[in-house]
Amino acid sequence: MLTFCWSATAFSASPSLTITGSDTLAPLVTTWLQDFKTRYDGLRVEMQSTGSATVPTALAEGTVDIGAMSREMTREEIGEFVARRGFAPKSVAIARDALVVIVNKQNPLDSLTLDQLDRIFSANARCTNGSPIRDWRQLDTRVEGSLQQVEAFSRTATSGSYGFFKSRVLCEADYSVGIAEFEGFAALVDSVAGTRGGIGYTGKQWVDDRVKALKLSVSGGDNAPVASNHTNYPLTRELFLYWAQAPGTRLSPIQCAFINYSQSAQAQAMVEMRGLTPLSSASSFEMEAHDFCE
Amino acid sequence: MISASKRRLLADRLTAVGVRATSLLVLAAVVGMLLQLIVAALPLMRAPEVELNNSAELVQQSSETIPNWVPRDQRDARWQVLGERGLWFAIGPSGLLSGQVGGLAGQDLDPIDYTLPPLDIGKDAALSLVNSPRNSLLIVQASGQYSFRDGTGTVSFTGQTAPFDRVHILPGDAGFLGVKQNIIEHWHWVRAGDIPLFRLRQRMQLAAGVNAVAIDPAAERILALLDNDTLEVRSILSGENIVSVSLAETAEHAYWVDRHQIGVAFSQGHFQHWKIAGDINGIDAARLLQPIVYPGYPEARSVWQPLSATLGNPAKLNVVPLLLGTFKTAALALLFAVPIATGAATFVGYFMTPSYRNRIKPIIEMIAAFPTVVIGAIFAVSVAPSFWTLSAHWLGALLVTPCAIALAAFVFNHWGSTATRDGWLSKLPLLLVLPGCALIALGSWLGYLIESRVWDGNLIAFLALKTGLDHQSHNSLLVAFAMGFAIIPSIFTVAEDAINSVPRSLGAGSLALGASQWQSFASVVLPVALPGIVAAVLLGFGRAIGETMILLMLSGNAPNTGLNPFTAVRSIAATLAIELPDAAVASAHFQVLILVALLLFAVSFVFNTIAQLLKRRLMTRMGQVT
Repeated sequence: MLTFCWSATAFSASPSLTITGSDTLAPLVTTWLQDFKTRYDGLRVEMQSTGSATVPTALAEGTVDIGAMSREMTREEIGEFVARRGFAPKSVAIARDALVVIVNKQNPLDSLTLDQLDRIFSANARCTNGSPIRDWRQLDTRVEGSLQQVEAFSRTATSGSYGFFKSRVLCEADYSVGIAEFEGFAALVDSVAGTRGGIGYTGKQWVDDRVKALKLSVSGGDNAPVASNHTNYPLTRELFLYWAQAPGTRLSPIQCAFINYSQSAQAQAMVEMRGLTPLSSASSFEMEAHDFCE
Repeated sequence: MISASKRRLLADRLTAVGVRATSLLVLAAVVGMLLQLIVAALPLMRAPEVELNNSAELVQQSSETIPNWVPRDQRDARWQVLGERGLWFAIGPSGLLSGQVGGLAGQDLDPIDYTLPPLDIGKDAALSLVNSPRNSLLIVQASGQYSFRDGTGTVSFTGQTAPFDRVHILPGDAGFLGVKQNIIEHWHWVRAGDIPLFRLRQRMQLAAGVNAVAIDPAAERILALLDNDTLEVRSILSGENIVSVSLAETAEHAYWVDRHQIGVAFSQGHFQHWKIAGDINGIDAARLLQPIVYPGYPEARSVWQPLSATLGNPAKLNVVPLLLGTFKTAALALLFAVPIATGAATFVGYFMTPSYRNRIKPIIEMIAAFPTVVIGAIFAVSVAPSFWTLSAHWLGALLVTPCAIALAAFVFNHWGSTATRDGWLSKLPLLLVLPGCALIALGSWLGYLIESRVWDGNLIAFLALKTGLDHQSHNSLLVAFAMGFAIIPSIFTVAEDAINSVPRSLGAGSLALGASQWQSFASVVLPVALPGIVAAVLLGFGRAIGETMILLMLSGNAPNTGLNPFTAVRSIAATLAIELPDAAVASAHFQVLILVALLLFAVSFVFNTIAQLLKRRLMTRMGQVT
C-alpha cells in the first residue's frame, strides 16, 4: 500500500485534506490533489490508497475527509454507516473505468464471454450452465503443452475491483478457492506476464505490452468490444467520491471545493491522462453544474 | 553538597529503579495486549440468549408500495421484492400464474420486459427471480417440482424433490426451505459433475410440527413457530438451535423485527418482542475447524471467504486453510534453512580458525538486517516468474550437489590421512567455492538435459499432464525458499553461539586422546551444545510463523487446503495484514481474526519460552563443565 504524502512547509494549523480509498483512483486523485493544492496557501494534502472497502469505515470514524471508491457502497456498508452516524453518506461520480481482462502474451485466445469468465473464476460457476474451466484446451484447441493449466489471479477482497468483478461476472458467487490474490494491480499484471497459463483483471492504466487484453462480450462473437470507451463493453463502471455530510450541515470549504473541482472541466481533462474515461464523454451522462458548497 | 560517592550511589539507585520500572512496564504491556486480544475474541465463545424486550412498541409493518406499472385491477395480486427489482405476479384460483418484473417505487429502474404467459404452478408455490442461472425465474411448487424459466417462460432447468407442506425461497440464490410437519429442509443449487440441480443440504428436525417460518433479513437464520407454543431461532448454515422461547399462549404469526429482534403476534392483537442478547454471530470452535457444506458447494469444504459475504451467501470462516498455510510454509522453510544454518554454525563455530570466524560470522548475520520486504520483493520480481520454467535446473543442482559432496567425502575419507583431513577441514569453505559453483552448474545443466530429452522440455507441464499435479506461480515452496533465506541468520547466530560457547578444553581433551576433529565434535561438543541448537531451530520456527511480508508477496494468498507444496497458500499473518483493517469491530470475522492472532501469539510465545529455557539449560551445563 503506497501512501502519497506531501507536507507543506509549515505544519501549524494549516488546512488539510485527506483522501483514502481505491487503488484504481489513486493516480488520478493524486494528480488532482497536486493541482488543487496550488490554489490554497499551505494546504496539506494526502492520498492513501488502501482499497475501496476501507472507505465506509474510515468515513464513519471521521478519520478522512473524502473517500474514493471504484464501486458503489453496498447496502450493508450504507446500513452500517447509517447505524453509526445516523445519516447516509453522499457521493458523486468522478470518472468511468473499464476492467480489462488480461492473459499471457503466449495465449492464442483473443476474446471471452462473461459466461466463460464465470467458469474460470467462480468456485462453482453458478450463473452459467457450463462446468468450471481449469484447462485452456476447453476453450481453444490451439493451446498446448505448458500453457494448459488456467491460473487465475485476483485482487484481495478489500479492492473495489474484486467486488465489481464478483457481482458483474460471478453473480455474487464466491471466487474459486485456489485463485491467488494480490495487494495491487502491478503485482497482478507482473504475474500474468510471467505465467503462461495466467489470466487476471486489471484497470486500463496497468496494461502494458507484456500481456494481452481480451475482447469481452456477453454473448460471444468476433466483434466483441475491447475495453476502450465502448458503451457496450460489459465491464464498465463508474468511480465515485464519498463523504459524510449530516443533513442540514455544510461541508468544510476545502472539502466542497475539492468536490466541485472534481466536476470541473479542468479536472475532467486530467482523467484521460490517467487511463480513465471522463464523465462527459459517456453518452448517458450530462454534466450538471452543482455547487457542493451550498 | 553531596559527596561524589553519594551522588554515584544515588545515580545507581535511580538507574536500578528505572530499569525495574521499565521491565515491569514491558511485562504489563505484554499482559495487557494478551488480555485485550482475549477480551476481543471472547464473545465468540458466549452462547446467545434472549431477553423479553418489554419496552418494544408495536412495530410499524413496513409495506412495499406497489409501483405504478402494475395494472390497477391487479393491485391485490401477490407482490414480492427481489433485490433492486420487484416481481409482481397473480395466481388465479386454479393456480395459474402470470406476472411481470419491474423497478420498485421510488427507484429509477424501468420495468424490464419479463412478462410471463399464464402457467399452471399450483397454489402453494414459491417464486423468486434468481441470478444463477442468470436472471431466471425460479418456481418451486409444494409438490417438490422446481423449474427455472427465462423471460418468456421457457424452462431452462427442471427437477423434482420430495413433496412439502410449504416452501420458502431464500434470497440471494441460497436455495429454498421445504417445511413438512416437524422437518425443515434446506435445498441448495449445486453442480454435480456437469448437471446443476437442487440438492438437500441441511435437514433440521424440530421438537414439534412447524406452524410458521420466517427468514431473517440477512438470510442467515430462521425463526420457527412450533405446535407446542415454542419459538426457535436456528442457523440456516449449521441447522443448530441458537435460542428458543416458550410462549405462554398460542401465537398466530412469527416475524423478525430486525437482525437482533424476534416477535410474535397473538390472536388478541398483542405483540411480544424479544431481543437476542449476546453475540448472534457466535461460532462454536468446531465450526471454525470442521468442513461445512456451504450453500452452492457440492461437498463439505473448509473455506475462508470472510469478506465476500452477500445476502444469502454467508461469510465463510473456516480457519483450517490459514493454519495449514502458516504451518506448512514454516515447516518447509525450516526444512530448507535448518540444514544450511546448523551446518554453517557447526563449521564456523568449531572447525574454522578464529580469524576466519571473526570475518565470516558478521557477514552471515548481516543477512538478518535485510528487511523481509526486500527479500520478498527480490523473490517476487526475479524468482517467481521463472520458478517453474527453471524447475528442472534447480532440481538437478539440488540433487547433484549433495551427492557429489557425499562422494567427495567418501573418497577423502578413504584415501586421505587423519592429519591432512583435519588440516584441510579448516580451509574447507575456500576450497569448496570453485568446485561448488561448478557442481551447481553441472547439476543444473544435467537437469536441463534430462528435461529436454525425457520430460518434453518442461518438467512441471510434463508432471501436470501425467499426474494432474496442481501448481501455481506463487506457492509455498517459493515462500519456503525466501523465508528460509530470511531465517537462516537467526538460526545460525544462536546455534553458532551455542557451539562456540562449549569450552575449548572439552574438545581439546578428546583430541589429545586421539579422536579426530569430527569425532571430537560429534561425540563431545555436539551433545553439550545440542539444547542451544534446538533452541535456535525453535526460534527460527517462531520467526517463520510470524513472518508477514514475504508471505503477503509470495504466497499468492489463496486459502487452499491440502498438503501440496506447489499451490498458493494463505497464512495467518498475511490474512491479518490484509483483512484486519477491513473487519468491522464486533463482527464474527473480526473476532475470528483476533482468535487466530491470539493463537499466533500463543504459539510463538511457547516456542520462544522453550527456546529460552533450553538456552538457560545450556548455560548451566556450561557452568558445570568449566
